[in-house]
Amino acid sequence: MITTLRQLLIALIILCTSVQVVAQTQTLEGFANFKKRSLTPIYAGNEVKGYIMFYKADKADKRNDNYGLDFFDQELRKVKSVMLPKTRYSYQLLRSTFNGEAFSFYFYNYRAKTLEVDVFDKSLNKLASKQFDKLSKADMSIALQETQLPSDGENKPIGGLNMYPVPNKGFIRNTYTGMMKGFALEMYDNKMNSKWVFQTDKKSKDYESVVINEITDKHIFATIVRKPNMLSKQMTFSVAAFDAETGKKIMDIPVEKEGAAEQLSLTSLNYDAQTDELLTIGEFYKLDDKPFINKSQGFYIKRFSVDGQEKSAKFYTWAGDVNPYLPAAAKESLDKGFVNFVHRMVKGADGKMHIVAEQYRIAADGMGIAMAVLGGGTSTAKGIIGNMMILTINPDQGLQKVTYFEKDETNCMLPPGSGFYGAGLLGQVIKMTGGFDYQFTQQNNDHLNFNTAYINYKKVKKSKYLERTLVNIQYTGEPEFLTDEIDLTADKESYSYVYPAKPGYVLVLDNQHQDKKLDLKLVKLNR
Amino acid sequence: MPFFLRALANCKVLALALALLLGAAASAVAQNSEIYPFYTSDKSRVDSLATVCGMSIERSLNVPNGVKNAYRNTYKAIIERTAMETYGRVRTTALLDTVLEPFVQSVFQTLKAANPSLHKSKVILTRSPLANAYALADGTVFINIGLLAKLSNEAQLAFILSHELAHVELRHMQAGIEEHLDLIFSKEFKKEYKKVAREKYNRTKKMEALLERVSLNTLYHKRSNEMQADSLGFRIFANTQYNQADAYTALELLDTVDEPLSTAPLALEKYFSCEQAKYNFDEKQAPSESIFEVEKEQPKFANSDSLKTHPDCQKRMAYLRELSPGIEQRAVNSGKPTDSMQRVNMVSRIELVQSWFDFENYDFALFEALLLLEKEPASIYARNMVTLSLYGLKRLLQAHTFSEAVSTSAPQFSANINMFLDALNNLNTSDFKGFAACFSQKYPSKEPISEFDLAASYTVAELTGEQDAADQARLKYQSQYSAGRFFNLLFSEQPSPH
Ligand SMILES: [Zn+2]
Repeated sequence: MITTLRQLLIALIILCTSVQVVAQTQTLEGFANFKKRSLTPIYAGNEVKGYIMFYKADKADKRNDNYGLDFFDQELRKVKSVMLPKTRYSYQLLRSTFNGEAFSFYFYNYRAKTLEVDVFDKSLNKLASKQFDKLSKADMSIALQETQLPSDGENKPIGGLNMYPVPNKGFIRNTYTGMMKGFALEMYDNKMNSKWVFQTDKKSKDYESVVINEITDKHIFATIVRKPNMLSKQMTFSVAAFDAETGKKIMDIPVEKEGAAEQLSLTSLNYDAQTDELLTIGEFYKLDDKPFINKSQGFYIKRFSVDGQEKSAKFYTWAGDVNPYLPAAAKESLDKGFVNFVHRMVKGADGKMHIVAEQYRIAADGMGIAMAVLGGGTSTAKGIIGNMMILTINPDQGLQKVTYFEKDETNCMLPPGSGFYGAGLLGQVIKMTGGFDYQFTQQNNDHLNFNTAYINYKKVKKSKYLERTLVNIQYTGEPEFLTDEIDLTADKESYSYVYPAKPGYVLVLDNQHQDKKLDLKLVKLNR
Repeated sequence: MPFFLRALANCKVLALALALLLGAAASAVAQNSEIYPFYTSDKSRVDSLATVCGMSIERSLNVPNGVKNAYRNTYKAIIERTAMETYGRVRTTALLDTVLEPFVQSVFQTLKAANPSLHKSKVILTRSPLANAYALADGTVFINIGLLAKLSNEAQLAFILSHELAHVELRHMQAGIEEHLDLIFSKEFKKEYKKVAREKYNRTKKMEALLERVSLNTLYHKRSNEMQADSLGFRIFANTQYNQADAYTALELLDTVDEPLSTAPLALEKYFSCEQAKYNFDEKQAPSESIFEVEKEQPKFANSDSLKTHPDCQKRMAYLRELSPGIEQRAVNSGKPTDSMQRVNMVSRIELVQSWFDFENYDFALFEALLLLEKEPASIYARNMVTLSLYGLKRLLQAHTFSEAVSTSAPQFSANINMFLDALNNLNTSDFKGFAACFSQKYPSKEPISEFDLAASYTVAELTGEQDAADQARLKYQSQYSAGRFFNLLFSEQPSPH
């Protein structure tokens, strides 16, 4: 775009003689302070269908700024710019999502302490706006926290405040009620008319929170986590289903059987349309340990019928089942005390399951801890990130193999006091603060292929810049994974970010600081 | 046509035929019927031509007297930029071959001889595949190989060159720069610009609107310039013995010049799928549909024509009918392809394939090579370029620059190009092995003789993973063609970054 007179003066004279190649690239000018979260991929199902760039443009009037949303399609072609005038210096975009019919943009106004949603149709004309005020204290603090956490570039719902897409029907928003005592789910149609509200029982003695995992025509499948009090580290996980039409809770069963010999966490819940079953995957812990807080003993896979009957359960221990599959190169990392953080579980149409994990451990600074114990300072622990691995489970639930991806160790800073946390919680902290090298996993809508991306950082002698290699692990249905490496090494002029893209591609965004320029390109992966 | 002129014309045809024959003989070492694109590792001629062109641009553009400093500086920046661009363009794209260039020069000389009062001018043939011609202020007329490949006869080329000469004569480039700067440095515009720049609110939108008005104004002038150039160009053309009606057929041709030489879908299966490596092109997914239903916002001045290299041809034809009543009827029996021009077309197509290839547009190189092969199934050059382009595409994938260098389908391309591009974008790195194997099975290479044969046999061996054969071909190429045109592409570590 021509934005200055100087550009105009020269541009019109130069003859248009170059060949027009329709490349899958974009150059965007005038971005002084680019943050990774400013660009979000937009999905239909699992597949990336475009991107949205959020930025502050110029002043709209005395009180308002123009906030810009630039839309790009999956081939990086610019679709449209939409300007939203909103109160100056107060807006952060929390979530953007697409439900097949409409886009929603969920903003937090941190001055007025309100949440706001703008809905657009596929022609990018505004369908509705809605403001939510009188937020609970919990909602406010979570919204604020969200704006400060680094983005993983994936734009998938995680904990926090979400606007979930209900295919072709509308959106569901979650809120925290009381002092995080309970939660509410509110369903809206595309015009932001309220359809139903679900609220947790105020009389319940537990603290409850929710993450929606999957939404079908009939059901909303979710994970509910319960704790006896807010500070408790004791957690129990339940598989829940809500009626999509009415919002009534129709199922709520703990993943853990009464009297079981271990405690379970729940990290992945999928609805399997073929078998009409729910597939849950999580980790298990010793009975007197605490899920997510302590180090897990292994992982499990359970299947439930939609009416809540447990159909099967299979447990795999790290020490007994997984480690024997590891190559010799991995033994050293186990001796060092690395534990696994499970990033993602992918179920393929071929019935195989892949569990994507990354190793991490804590290196406590002895001096720091001693000082902290004596009350004279804070503990300074750092996280060390190790190798990647993918565990492949056969359709008959046997562990088929563990594929190990060696990478250079990296360090990550941890908040003061982290030295006293359990290993499980530290994994969560590292994930939240963006400390892992893992980037994202993209699965095709046909569930036949997926790609997991991570960055390998390598110290290069005589350079203050780390050599950065984006490694893409691809599953194509063949017995072996393919890897494809892309060099992303930064220099003082530029820094690259990666995002998911349409199947078979990744998006690399190069931020040229001095020119305030962003170069975006889709990179086709070798397979 | 008077007798002596007809004789002269015949003479020229003869001279051309002779030149073609000589050119072919000079470049084709073994197959005397095979034409290869021109190549010389000696860049001195083209370098000095580039220097001359850059300097002559600088001399031909002069800042008017009595203008303000800002105006002067901008004008100077434009001169500098144009001179640099021209230098670069000539240096990288001028084609100084032994067949086409002499032919274009001879037509240009005919025009100049028939119009002795014209200012100093020269013509440069470029290797650009864009079907276009244009003129610069110093009298340099550029004609692209992409246009030469499509013209039906010499007269059409003469009219197109006449039109460009008219632009030179009418000083359109100089006038264009001055008009543009006059407008932008005018009191009215400055006032408006300052006003917008001082705007507190919605400044971006207002600035865009102002700049669009300026662009519109410039475009309007450009369009009226085309009418003027047609008017004078037609007079320049009419002074020659060429058939005047071909001015009209030239415009008819320009109207559809963006269409490929054949619009039939390419039978990719025929070339790249075989028993040992089946590949079903139909089964592959079309690119996924956009989720957006946004009507493209067209600029106000745009119409269906705006994506074309030559907009407004219908209007220009109407204008020509006014200038020369009855030309439309006379044109019906004109514009027939001549034998000599068909030969020029064929050599141009070969240069065109090579140009796409040399500029690393392996997508269009492959497309044009396949079109050529369709027309001339025996063309060894076309076969070689198919495998070389496949190799280039695979290298782009491996260097992760594929999506920067390979086009996606787009509205401005014809249906068969879009189908072809969709197929390319679906390819995986592992598919190239089968493609190369099937293609070389259907078009088995004989004992490699020319540089192209050798390069192609190396790439086939590389693609199919026959390491020994690849090593042999590489050593042979390196020893025989140490200054060869494919040396860098084939044997450098990585393809040059984009
Ligand atoms: Zn013109």
